[in-house]
Amino acid sequence: MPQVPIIKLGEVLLVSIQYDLDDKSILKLQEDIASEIVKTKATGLLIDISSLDLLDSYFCRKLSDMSRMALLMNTNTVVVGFRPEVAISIVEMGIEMENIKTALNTEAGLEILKKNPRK
Amino acid sequence: MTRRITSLVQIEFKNDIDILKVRDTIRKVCADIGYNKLSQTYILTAISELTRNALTYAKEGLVKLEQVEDGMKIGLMISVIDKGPGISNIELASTDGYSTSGGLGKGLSGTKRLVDDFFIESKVGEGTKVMVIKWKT
Repeated sequence: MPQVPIIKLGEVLLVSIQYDLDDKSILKLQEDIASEIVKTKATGLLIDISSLDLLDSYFCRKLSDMSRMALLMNTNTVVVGFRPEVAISIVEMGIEMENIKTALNTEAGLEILKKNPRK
Repeated sequence: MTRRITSLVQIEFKNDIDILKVRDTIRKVCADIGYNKLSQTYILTAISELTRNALTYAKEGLVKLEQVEDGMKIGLMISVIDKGPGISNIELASTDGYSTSGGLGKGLSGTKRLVDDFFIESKVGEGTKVMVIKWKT
């Protein structure tokens, strides 16, 4: 499974998850994000999930873990791109998105990160 | 009116990569049946939860996909079967908010809300079978 690219845009790291990830890839992504944060001293992390057609409780927990990990490294996280049916399913299932800030799309997400900078 | 059940496919799963294969198969089958996006997402999410449960507790399992017809209704019947430790208290496990794995999901009760019919059979020491039906709207 090819690794998920992490792109630096100013103070923000952009991660776009294009397809279903297996457990090993999720772990690798978490590690890559951590080392990129250290390397670039980024203060914002934007995770784009607009290509995903489902989010189960396992993946939501992983997103929450990534967000908490980033925060420990002084980085705010926003998850963007919830498809309507994905958002509806999560709510219907009762999955709590803990420690996760969300926004509609990448632009809105970047705005949030800009307005709430970590120095 | 009698129900007509057609077996479609059976998939064994032993790890998370197999669960991704299960999802792909479900996507194809949903497209064939003609579910709308929301129904497909509900089905994918429900089965993702159930197979993940089976992996956690039983390390492996089996997914059975069957098409079910009832008069004018057409739907998908999906069974997730494992030979794991079983659930000793099904009623408790189905309670809103109950989770033994520390998961964020509301366990079985959350999955129930995504489907139309939900059946569960479990015997301690023998295994668990969860069967769900989602009708096409």
